Amino acid sequence: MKELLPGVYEVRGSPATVNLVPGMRVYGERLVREGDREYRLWNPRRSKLSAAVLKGLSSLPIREDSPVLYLGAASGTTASHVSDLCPRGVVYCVEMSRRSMADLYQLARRRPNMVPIMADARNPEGYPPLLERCELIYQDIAQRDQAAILVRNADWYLRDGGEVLMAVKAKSIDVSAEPWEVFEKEMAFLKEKGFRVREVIELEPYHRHLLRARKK
Amino acid sequence: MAAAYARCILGVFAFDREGRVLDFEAFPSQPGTIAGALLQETTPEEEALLARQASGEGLRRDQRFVLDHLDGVLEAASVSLEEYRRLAREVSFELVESSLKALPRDRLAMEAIGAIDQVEEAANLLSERYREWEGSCYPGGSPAAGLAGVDVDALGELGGQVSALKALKAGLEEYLTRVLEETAPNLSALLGPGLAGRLISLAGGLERLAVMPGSKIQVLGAEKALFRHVKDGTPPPKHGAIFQFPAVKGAPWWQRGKIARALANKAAMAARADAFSGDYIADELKAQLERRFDEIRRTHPKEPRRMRIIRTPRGKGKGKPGKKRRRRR
Repeated sequence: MKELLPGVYEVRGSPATVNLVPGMRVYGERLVREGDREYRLWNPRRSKLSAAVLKGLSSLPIREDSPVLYLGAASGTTASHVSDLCPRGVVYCVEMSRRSMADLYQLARRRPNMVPIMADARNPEGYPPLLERCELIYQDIAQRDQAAILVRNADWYLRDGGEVLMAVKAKSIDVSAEPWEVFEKEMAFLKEKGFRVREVIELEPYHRHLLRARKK
Repeated sequence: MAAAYARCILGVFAFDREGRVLDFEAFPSQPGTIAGALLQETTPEEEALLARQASGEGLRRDQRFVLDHLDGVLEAASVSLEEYRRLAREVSFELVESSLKALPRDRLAMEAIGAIDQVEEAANLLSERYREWEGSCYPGGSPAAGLAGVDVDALGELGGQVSALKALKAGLEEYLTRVLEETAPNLSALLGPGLAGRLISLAGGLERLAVMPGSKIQVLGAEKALFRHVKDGTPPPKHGAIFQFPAVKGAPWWQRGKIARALANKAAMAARADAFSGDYIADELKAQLERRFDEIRRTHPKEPRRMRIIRTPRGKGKGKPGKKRRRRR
């Protein structure tokens, strides 16, 4: 079994994670048994993080016991794989939409390390006081001011030396500007706020990128 | 001396300036009780702790102390990190359940709008019948020969019901206003509760309205004209439900589209503020809108010369010259 990144394996040509709850599917993904482990295939078309792994993301800062803050968890497709990656850690999943939260809640009920938080990611100070400082913040919210939102969340909930992964869709930030210009601006903003950008992975199509940065 | 205090799922904690836990008051250990306490502005535990730290002054609430000194908090409460996380998850379930159970107030507004429409329809229908009936009983305004008490009573009963329906409608409108001022303060301040409710209803909810572009909001309620435009190439509608807004309705035809567009864009921003940020921005929006209306009126004061219609396309129906009707297959 080839390990693409710690905890992420290549199974039948696709990234996959070890299922935390054997036998349970989240979004119709394939389950593959190999020895005493069950792998969940991680569809790169459904998850930007999986696509980034395929595109050569060099490090995924999630260890077995990491606390992770996930902003914009939606129904939990990607968040469930993140939860596979930190079986002895925890994933705090922030989502504000009622409909998505209804799904996410059901999912979290069955995954012992998922903590659903129904709140607006724009107001990190308004989250219920049950979080901790995390090793990673993963952000997937298509918002014009998403970098500012990320920085505010990091200010509250990221450990020193912790990392952030930000999924950026340039067209969600400014439709009229050139995508690369939008992107440069986001990076400059993060730098100014004390982050060091480590890696940028281009995800086709639609000018989407995944950016990895570390808080100094 | 204590410098700050903060709460977490374990209770309320007082810290010194270095972040050492000086004192704490624990919450009961049931997740439901903890969730209830977190939703309160203040709790008995908080009051007890603050009373003990009576020197009080300079003791501010700062949630960051819990995040920055979680180790100390856990140690003081003799709780392991695993236990803390397990409890956090249980508490989060309680909190999410209560938010999901909360009344979807925009749905209530939509129901109220539906009821208002139907009551109005019924009232109009019945009052028409009433007038006709009344005309038969009192031809030329005076009682018809042979008009009996039973006839008058029957007519009076219908009249009473018509007034009751009108009162019902007024009551529902008042209710709608109250609900909308609470759930969509920006949108109802900008457009008035009736139109605000109408747009929410057409969009299928406040959140759905909030993710629509202004251009779509502009033609909500004009779907028939919009799809006729898409299908046959007729001129696109300038406005849908938004036509009810006085500045749109009252504008001369050549300004109307521009005014409707400006209004729809501000309505989109208002809906977003209502659905997502909760900030009150309606006053700014109104001011900007007024400026834009003035600009439109100033820059387009005169009726543009219409091109004369020489020939109606295909010899029937209205069609604007210069625009060819297209039929897509």
